[in-house]
Order: sequence, then C-alpha cells, then structure tokens
Amino acid sequence: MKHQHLFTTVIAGLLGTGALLLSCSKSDNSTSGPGDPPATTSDTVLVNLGTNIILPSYQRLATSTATLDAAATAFTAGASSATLSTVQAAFKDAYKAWAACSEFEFGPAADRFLSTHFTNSFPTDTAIIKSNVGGASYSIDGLANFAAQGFPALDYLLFAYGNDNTLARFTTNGNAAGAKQYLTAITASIKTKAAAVADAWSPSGGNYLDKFVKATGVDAGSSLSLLANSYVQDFDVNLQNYKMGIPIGIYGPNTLPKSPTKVEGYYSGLSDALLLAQVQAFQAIYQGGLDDKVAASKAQYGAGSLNDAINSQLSNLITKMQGLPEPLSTGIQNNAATISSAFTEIRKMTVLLKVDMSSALGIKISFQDDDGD
Amino acid sequence: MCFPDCESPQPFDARIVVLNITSNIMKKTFTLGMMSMLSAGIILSTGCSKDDNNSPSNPTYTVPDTYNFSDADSLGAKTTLSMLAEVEAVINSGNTKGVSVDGAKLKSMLTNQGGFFTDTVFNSNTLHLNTAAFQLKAGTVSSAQSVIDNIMDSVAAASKTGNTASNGVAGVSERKTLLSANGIYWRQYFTKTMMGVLLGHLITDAYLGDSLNNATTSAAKIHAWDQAFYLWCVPANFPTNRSGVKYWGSYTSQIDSGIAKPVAALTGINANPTLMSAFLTGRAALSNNDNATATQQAGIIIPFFEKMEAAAALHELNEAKGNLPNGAAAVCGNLSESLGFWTALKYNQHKTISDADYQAVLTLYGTNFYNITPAGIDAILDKISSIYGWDSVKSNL
Repeated sequence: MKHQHLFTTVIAGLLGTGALLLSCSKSDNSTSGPGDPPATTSDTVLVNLGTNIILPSYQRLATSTATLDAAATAFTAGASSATLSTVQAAFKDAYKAWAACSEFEFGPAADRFLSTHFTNSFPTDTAIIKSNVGGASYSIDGLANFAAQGFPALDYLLFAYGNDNTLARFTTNGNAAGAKQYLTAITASIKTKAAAVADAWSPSGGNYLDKFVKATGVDAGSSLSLLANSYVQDFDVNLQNYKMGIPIGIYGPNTLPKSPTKVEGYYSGLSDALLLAQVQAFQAIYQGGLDDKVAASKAQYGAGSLNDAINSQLSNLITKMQGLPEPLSTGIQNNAATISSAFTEIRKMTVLLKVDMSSALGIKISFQDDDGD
Repeated sequence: MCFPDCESPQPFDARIVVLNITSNIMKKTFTLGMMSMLSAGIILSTGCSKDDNNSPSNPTYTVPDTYNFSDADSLGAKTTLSMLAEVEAVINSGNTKGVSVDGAKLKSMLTNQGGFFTDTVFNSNTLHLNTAAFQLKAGTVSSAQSVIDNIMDSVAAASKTGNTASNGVAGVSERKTLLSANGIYWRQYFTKTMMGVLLGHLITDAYLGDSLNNATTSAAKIHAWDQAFYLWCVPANFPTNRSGVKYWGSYTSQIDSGIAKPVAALTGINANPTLMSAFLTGRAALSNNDNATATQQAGIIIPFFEKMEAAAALHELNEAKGNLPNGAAAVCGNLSESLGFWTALKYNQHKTISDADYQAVLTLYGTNFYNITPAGIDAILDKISSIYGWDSVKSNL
C-alpha cells in the first residue's frame, strides 16, 4: 500500500503543479494560487458540482425509476384507471429526472450504458415494440432493441392509444401478457442502470465522486473536460438537434421536411416539460461553479462579461421554454412563431457554450456533432 | 551432431561482408555488446554444451533498423496475401443485396483450382496466382479447414436469400454487410479467423519452423524467415512507414494503441516493437549463421501470436462499444471480428490458455449477436482481460 500512496502523492503533486501553472497563465485565482497548498487534491467547483448537483440528480433518477418500476409492476398486476394513472405520473417524474442527468454521460453513466442512446433514443421503433409485445424473442438491452427501449418506448406503451385503449391493451388484448412483460422489462432495466450509476457516484458505493473532484485541471480526461464535453454535447446534439431542430425541419445548415412526430415525449405530450427541465438543469450546472470559472477568466462578450451573457441567455431560454405551445408537436404543425423564436435562442446558447464558455474554461471540445454547423 | 552450416563457421571477415551489404541502411547502436547479452548465454550453455556449432562463438554483426536486407525475398508471402485478398473480394460481392456468391467457386479458390485468381504485380514481379503451387486451404491449420469451408457455404447461402438482414433473418444490412441470421458478418469473420489459422499458422508453425530447421541450407532458412516477416504484412521500414499495412500489419498497431486514431502512443501490448525487434534480430542472426539467436527470437514471436489474437479480440470489443450508437449491424461487424480472432486462437497450437478459460469466453459471445447487451460485451472484454492480466490496459487495447 505504501507504493500506492507514494504514487497518489506524486500524481497529486503533478496535478497540483499543473493547476498552479494554469492558474498563473490564466490569472484564474478562483481555485488556486501561489499561496495555496501545493498538492491540490480537489477543486471546490468540482466538489460542489459533484456533491450538490450530479450525485443528487442520479439519486433522484434512481428513486424515481424505482418508483416507476414499482408502479409498472402494480399496474401489470392489477390494471385499472387508477394504476395506469399512477404509472403514467411516475413515468413523467422519472423522465424529467433523466433530463437532469443526460448532461453527465461520462464515468459511471458511460460504464453502465445509462446514456441517451440507450435510455432516450427517439422516435421509438414501434414496429419492434409491437413485434416484441406480440411474442417475438428479444433481449431488452440487446443490440436489436436499442430503438425500442428506454423512456421513449414507455412513452409509446403508456400513452399512444389513450387511456381506455391502453388499459385494454394490458388486459383484454390477446397480447396483453406480452405488453405487461415488455413494460416491466423496460422499467426494470432503467431502474437497474440508474441505481447502479447512483451507487457508483455515491461515497458509500463506488465513490466516483472522489475521483471526480480530484481529477483537476482542464486536460482531456480531467473532470472539467469530461463534464464540459458531455454538457455541451447534450445541449448541441440532444437538445438543439434532436429535441427541436429535426422536428421543426432544421439540421445544421440544412432544411428538412418538418417531423412533428419526432419530438421527445410525443405520445405523452411531455416535450415542453422535458425541454424546460433540461434547460433548468443546464442553468443549475452552470451556476454550480462553471460561472465562477468563467467569471475568473475575465472573458468578455460584447460590452459585458461572458458570464453575464451566459446567465442572461439561460434565463432568456427558460422564458422561451415556458412559452412553448403545448403539445409541441401540434405547435410545430401550426408553425408557431414561439417555437422558431425559441430555436433561435437555443442556437445562440449553443455557440455561447460550445465556443465562448469552453474557450474561457480552457477546455477542448472534442465531440463531433455531425450536423455540419 | 553437426550440420552443414557449422562445419564451416563463417570467419570474421565474412561477417564484415554482411555488414557491408547492409551498410546503406540505418544501423541500431544495438550491436556487439547487446548482441552478446542476447546470444551469449545460449551460445555458451546451449551451443557449447550440446556440441552445436551452428552459432558463431562471438557474433559480431549489427542488427539493422529496417528489414532492407539485400537478399530478402517477399514474393512467396505476397502470393499468399494476394490470394487471401482475392477470396475476400469475392465474399465482399455478397455485401450487395441481390448478388449471389458462388460457394463452389470460393472453395475452389481455397484449393487453387479453376483459375479464379487474377495475377498481381508486385515490385515489377508478376505473381501468377493460378499456377502457383501454394493453396490457401493447404496452408490452413488442418483442423480448421472445415471451419473455413463452412464459412464459404454460409456466405453463399446468405447471399442467395436476397433479404434485408435483421434479427433472425440472414441477409444484407443497411451498412451493406452480409450477415447471418444471428448477426455474424461473414467477410470479417472469415478474415479474422484466417489471420490466425492461415497467416499466424504459416508464420509460427511453417516458416519460423523452417527457419530453424538445421537440415536445410542457410539460404532456405533465410528465405523462410523472410516469408514469416512479410506475412506480417508490413513494409521493411515499419513502423516508421505504415503504408500498405494490412491484416496483422494493421492489427499490431491497433492493439498497441487502442481505438484512438491516429496511433498516438504505445498503450497496449507493444506488439510492433516486439515483433520488429525479433524479426530483425533473428534475420540478422541467420544471415550470420547465428542460429542460436534466431531460435531465441523465433521463441519470442511464436508464443506472442496468442497474445496478439486475444488482444485483437479484445480490441474489437472496444470497437464494438464505440460503435453502439451506430446500430446493430455496425456492432455485429465488430463482434464478428472479435469472434474471428477468438476462433483463430482455438487453433493456435502454441496457446497457453486453458480449455476452460477459452470456452468461458466463447460462451459469453452467446448464440445471437442481435441479443447481446452492452453489459454483455463488457463481460467478454473483462473475461479476456482477466485471463491475460490486461486489466490495466484493457481500455487501450
């Protein structure tokens, strides 16, 4: 164990030296400076983000998906309007909890495949779902089933046919047994993965939190780099492109046919609530300490500070999300001006995060969004 | 026992001639002293005690940095590699929906009958494949020949369906890959299996074995060693020059640096430096009748193929994880490559893995790639890593 301790000390020293050099070169005295202890073992911003935002987000997801799974089990055991209503409410709560976790697809979430691709791939493939419900052999998390699992598949199963017909599909329909089995297979899968990631972050479990707060600096592999890349990718790709751009017919510089059925939460009409929850999560993460780092960089934006510009745009965006027509899919069909106005603000936000914020933080954004913008 | 080479050991000035031959290429500083460290033990303990005079008692040659030996001959290896590539091309034709592949033709190509190959030109030398004495099937590990024949039949059958591939349905995927009903991408499975049962077998069992056969002439040993090197499919000045690498020539770089591209650093099992050093040292040794050192270097290469096959199987699992967002067909391709390497390992006659461990990994691949889960891919990866002690580098393989 002595060797391990020595190794840790040496690495910590190296990291500390790196942080010191960084702080000198960027005049960033928010986290460390010449008078600080030489071996920085953690970053106060990372401590706050990890302890007060990321871990609680996953704990909430774990709790809400456990509630969802229990509600789904109760529904399949005794399908009624009441149990259907309960499982639908639990679904909405868990889905919104996911909107506050999709920003962290690194570390435990990546290791355990609790990522957008497996959890929130929409539009869901209804043909596969029908086939599976109809008795086809399937592996719920299998390669052939990625487009038929996660929250979007639940959205379809619980909302696509209206309450009466949904009840019938789980009771009198010839494939009712298959529907019940499929519903609980999905809720169990999400619950298991969410619990595993929450446990992996928890100090009483895998304690990735400790690793997170100690991986200081801005190099590739540092926690700030992992977080910023995941956070910006979630905004740029998932929110801008998939939740809004493609449904309204805009993908990068290209104009596509409008696809209102491709919104997130199409069947439940939860699209607006999910967008709002996600932007609020972005705001909480930014104001959880990224703002301090951006402010300390003294980066300017126009006549003011970059930090003020980002905070202002986040507030503006929340207002825009609150003003979206409900359901979003109908608003898209009707060419609602509030949607195009909101999309314009989303794009401004993307640039602020992807270009200005990352530059101020000294982070290299390495993901590819493939939309050509 | 005395062999022709040792009856007339080369005098010192003869070795100088060898040095002069290679004087136009970069030399390693790894000369006399280090060579003696490598070879002296064998010369003294093995060579002398067994009255084996094959090796000069005091090697004084230099090991070059590149394989630019003036008398190196790569044409035999190129013939083998060209045949393999042409069979792959025919299999690839089945990746287009509606194109039926002739299984009988494929099997005829394996036995070099029917004149289905196209002559190729290499360094101004025309390789007449159809009249070459070599046959891919005969060069394949005998117990694996039926496996390869079965792949040929499966390619033909799947290509004739005209189906779009999906879970339970053989056919062509949206990525233009001919898949079995359970997700095996035939062309990749064929190639990766052949990298072991053909190329690995020829290198380790045939050519390096011939290189060390004291019943043959020095020239024959050198020729065999050259074939082994060029079946690696790298250029003479590899890895400085990586152009034209294929098969193991590509994979030794991949298992040295993981899925990050371009190759940035040695983070894996150091296959490139291990093989290059051994091939160069062994070849220089043979050129100087230092059979003991050549034997020692072959003893590095031969068992290393097991690590390469296992590491390549693991590498493709990392690729599969990276390809998860690209859909089932993409991941099926990587899994097929991985399973191909693992199949190759089964027929590696020098493997040290226990039958139980081998089978445990094979079982984890399951019976249908469409139903494998991301966690299931991790389980295979972790098991291979555990068996070979690669936990600290498994993400970089």
